[in-house]
Amino acid sequence: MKNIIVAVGLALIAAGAAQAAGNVEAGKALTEKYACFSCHGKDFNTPIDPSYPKLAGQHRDYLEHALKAYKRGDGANGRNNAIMTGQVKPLSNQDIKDVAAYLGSLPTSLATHR
Amino acid sequence: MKKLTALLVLAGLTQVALAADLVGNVQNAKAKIEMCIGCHGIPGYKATFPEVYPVPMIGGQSAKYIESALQAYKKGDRKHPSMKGIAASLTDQDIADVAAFYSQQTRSADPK
Repeated sequence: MKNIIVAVGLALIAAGAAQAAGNVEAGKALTEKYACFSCHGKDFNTPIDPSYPKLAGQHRDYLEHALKAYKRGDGANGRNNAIMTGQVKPLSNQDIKDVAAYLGSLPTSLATHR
Repeated sequence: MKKLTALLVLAGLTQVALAADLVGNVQNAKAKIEMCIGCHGIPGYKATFPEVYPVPMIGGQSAKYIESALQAYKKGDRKHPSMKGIAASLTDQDIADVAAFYSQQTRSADPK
C-alpha cells in the first residue's frame, strides 16, 4: 500500500513537472495545427522570409515569454505584430508552454558569443 | 485630406526604402555591441525585469530579423522596457551594423 502511495505521488510530481515545462509532443501537434512552419520553416530554422526569426532550439522560457507578450499586445511588456497577434489568440497558457517546449527541443543554429 | 494621406503614405514608403538601403558593417559594429554583450553575450544569462527568463540567443538569426526586432522596440511595437531603451538609443545605421554582426555568428565561430 505504502509503495502504491509513493508511486502515485511520484507520478503526480512527474506529471506536474511535465506541465510546468510544457509537453513536447503536444507542442509539436499544436505547431502542425496552427501551421507555424508555413512562415518559420519546416525545421523552424529556415523561415520563408529573412525578417522572421529562427525558432529551433531557442530558449524555451524566452519563446514562452515572446508568445505571451503577443497575447498582451498593447499591455505592459507586450508586443504588437500584424501576424503574431492573430496567431497567438487561440492559444491557452498551456498551449504556449507546449509549443515553447517543442520548439526549444529542436536542433539549433543559434549561438551565444560575445 | 486624401492628398495628405497619400503624402504620408509616400513619406512612409520613402523611409522604408531608405532603411532598406542601409548596409550593415560588421567592423563598425564592434564598437557598438557593448550594450548587447552584457546580456546576450553570456550563455544562460537571465533577464530579471519584469519577467525572469533567459535572454534570447541572437547569434545566427538573420540580419533582417534582428533589424526588424530592434526597429519594433524603437517604434514601441515591442514594449520590453530595457530593450526599448536600448533600441531608442540606436540610429538606423547602428541597428544595421549590430544586426550584420550577430547574423554572422555561428554555433562555433564569432565574426572576425
